[in-house]
Amino acid sequence: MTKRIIGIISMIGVALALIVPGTSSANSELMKLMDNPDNWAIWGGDYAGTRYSKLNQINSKNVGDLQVAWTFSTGVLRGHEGGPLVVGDTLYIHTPFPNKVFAISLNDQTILWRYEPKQNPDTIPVMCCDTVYRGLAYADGKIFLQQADTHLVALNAKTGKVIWRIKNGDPKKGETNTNAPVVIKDKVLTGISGGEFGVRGFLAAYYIKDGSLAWKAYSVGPDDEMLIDPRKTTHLGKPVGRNSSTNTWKGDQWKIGGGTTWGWYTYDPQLNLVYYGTGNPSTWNPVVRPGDNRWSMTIFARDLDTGKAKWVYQMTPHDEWDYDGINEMILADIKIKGKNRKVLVHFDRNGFGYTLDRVTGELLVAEKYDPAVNWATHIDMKTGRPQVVAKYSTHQTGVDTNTKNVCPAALGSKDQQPAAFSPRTGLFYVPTNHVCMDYEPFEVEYVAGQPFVGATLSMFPAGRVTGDGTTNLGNFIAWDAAKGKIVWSLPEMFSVWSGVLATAGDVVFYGTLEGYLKAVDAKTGKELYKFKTPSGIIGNVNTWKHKGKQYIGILSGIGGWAGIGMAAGLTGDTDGLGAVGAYRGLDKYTQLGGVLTVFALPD
Amino acid sequence: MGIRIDYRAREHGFARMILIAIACLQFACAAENTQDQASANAARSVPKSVGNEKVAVVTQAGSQSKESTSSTSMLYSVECGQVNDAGEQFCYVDRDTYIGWRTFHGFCSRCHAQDALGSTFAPNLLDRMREFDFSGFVGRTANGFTGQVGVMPPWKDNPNVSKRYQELFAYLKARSDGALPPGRPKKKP
Repeated sequence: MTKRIIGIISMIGVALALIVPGTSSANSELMKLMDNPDNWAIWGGDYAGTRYSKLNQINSKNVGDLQVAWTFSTGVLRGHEGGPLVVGDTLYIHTPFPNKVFAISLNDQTILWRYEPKQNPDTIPVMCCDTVYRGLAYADGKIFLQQADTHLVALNAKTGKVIWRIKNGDPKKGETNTNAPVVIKDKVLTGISGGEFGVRGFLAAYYIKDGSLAWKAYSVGPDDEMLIDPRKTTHLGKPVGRNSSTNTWKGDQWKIGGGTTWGWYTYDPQLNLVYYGTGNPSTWNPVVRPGDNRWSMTIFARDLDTGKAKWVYQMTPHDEWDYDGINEMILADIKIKGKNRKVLVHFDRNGFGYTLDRVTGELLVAEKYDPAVNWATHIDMKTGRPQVVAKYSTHQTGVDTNTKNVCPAALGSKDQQPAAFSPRTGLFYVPTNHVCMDYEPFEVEYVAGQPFVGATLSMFPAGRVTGDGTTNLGNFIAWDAAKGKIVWSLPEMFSVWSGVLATAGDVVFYGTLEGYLKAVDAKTGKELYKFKTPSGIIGNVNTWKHKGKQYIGILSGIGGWAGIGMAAGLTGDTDGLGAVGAYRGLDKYTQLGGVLTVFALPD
Repeated sequence: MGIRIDYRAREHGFARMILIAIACLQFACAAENTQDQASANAARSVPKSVGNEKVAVVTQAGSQSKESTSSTSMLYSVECGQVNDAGEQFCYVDRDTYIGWRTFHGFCSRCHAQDALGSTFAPNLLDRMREFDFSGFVGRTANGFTGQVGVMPPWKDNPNVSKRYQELFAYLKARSDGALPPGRPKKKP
């Protein structure tokens, strides 16, 4: 009898597997596309988010000959983050709000189709820090568009026609989206923005075939809503225990607890784990939310099929500075102390570069990747906790007290702009900020859908704190994640706010806020090429090959938080800026406007 | 109806201070060029209060002249030390202006940037504030506005802002009038 039941169940299982052909085929199609470096089929080039290309036609010897091959204006003025996807003969490019999508033929650069969603402009003011959008996802003949107003849309990749459209959140409650979705197996993953509005963060997985919800996992709250198993989910090797999140909040503050998920998502197919980070706890004012505020500011490793959390690691317990933990988790296999390790490398807003064992969540390395970082002396490798310096603790100094010269500033030693990893050099290439701040919490009332910040901050060049006489606001660095050491560092006048590309040609590409696309030698950092694009760059550099020729593409269009933290005065500064004078220069270099510039070597 | 200004050089602790404030009646006052008057360094008395309006004193010292422009019922008081070698200038302000600075940098600076200098997606308010009297400012702030490229949200439902229109107006007028330089002002003891 029992055998018969098992037999029937097995048959049902087989039948189900046959009924859902999309499950494996979508994944294997995308895996094949990613394996062929002629495509750039996902935001990071691969599931590991390495932003590394095996293409080497453009290399350190000839990159100096690079020329502009063609350009494309998006017709949108806001900050342009993310970069183009390339699948076969077609390039797909997105814009900030209103989130247009263009499919462009690589054969003749004609527009094959365009899609412009109708979105309520009331969404715009709910979006923190400009109306940016970080890009599309491709799989199964569909383009996935994550609109600002939280609608997730599947478009026919050949025609641009809507296949399905679902709502992922509610802008009236402050929920919006800026992230690029990611497709893994039969699911499309997306998160939520709105940490400044008291939004409770989550990661959601929808089935690519019809947009129905597969699972949804909150960052904070009761165990079952976070898909945390108190006995199996671990923090630094130990089970987290019951109510691991709610125990660390006062009352029901977790309900407006933040921990939003607006960064990038990576995936290890062997482990079947998805990796991402959560943002700041709401409010910014730490005094009114005692406790560690788990699991805000946390790296999550979740099983793709079930959403269950395998392990977590909280980087900044009880955040006092707005150091969101959402930056990308790069997956690489590197040698640490002579041993091959499967690691996750993460450059956090808090200024520490973390290397963890991505199988177990064990903390291996945690070191400052900007020497100016001063809010904590170090990370205790046993407890994983930062050792906070009292005079930079905005909680200890208290409400209505100005905590001065905290490094890094709220925008972090690095924001979302993704780094790259080259397996050829074993180095990570990281776009960084070199900015400090004065931070002053004050009490605010929470109203749904309204910003919920409760702190003032003033930002200035880190050189004012370090006293080394420098005024640069950024550095482009090469990082050894096994040792936790900077290998080389190139000062940049402004924050480096572009996603990086590393290639098998031993060239590393990045963009600057003035608008330069730069190519440097992967080993030495020596500048090999630069070109001034039409606007400041906060987009990601991507590469592909078409008809035997390698191309480099970069989206320019100044804006985003870079456009506010750094670009004060773009509209005409009539005032002296005193000590913050270093910020004012950007309007001498660039103006608004979204343009994709594509480079290639001459014929 | 005009602005009455008191120009006096004062010593305030270690630094020579500039005390600036503007006294206005309920409706927009005509702009007065105070530069010549500053050089005259002549003291004049100022009314203490006009109805419900607060009144303050403008005192200007040394060669740094500040121009007061048309204003409405808004009033502020700013006392600034000299610019130091680092290019910084420390200023003391009245409670309203201080709360206005704090509110602005807690809620508005996300778009309008530190010191109200504007960003890539929201205007510099130093220029824009010259277009508004208090009621116009409250209307715009409470109800929001759709601009050429950006959208200003309505703030009337957010008590953190809607209770602070007067303070915000004080801060932004002080900035717009050139009375208050960039940076964090200090609350007068």
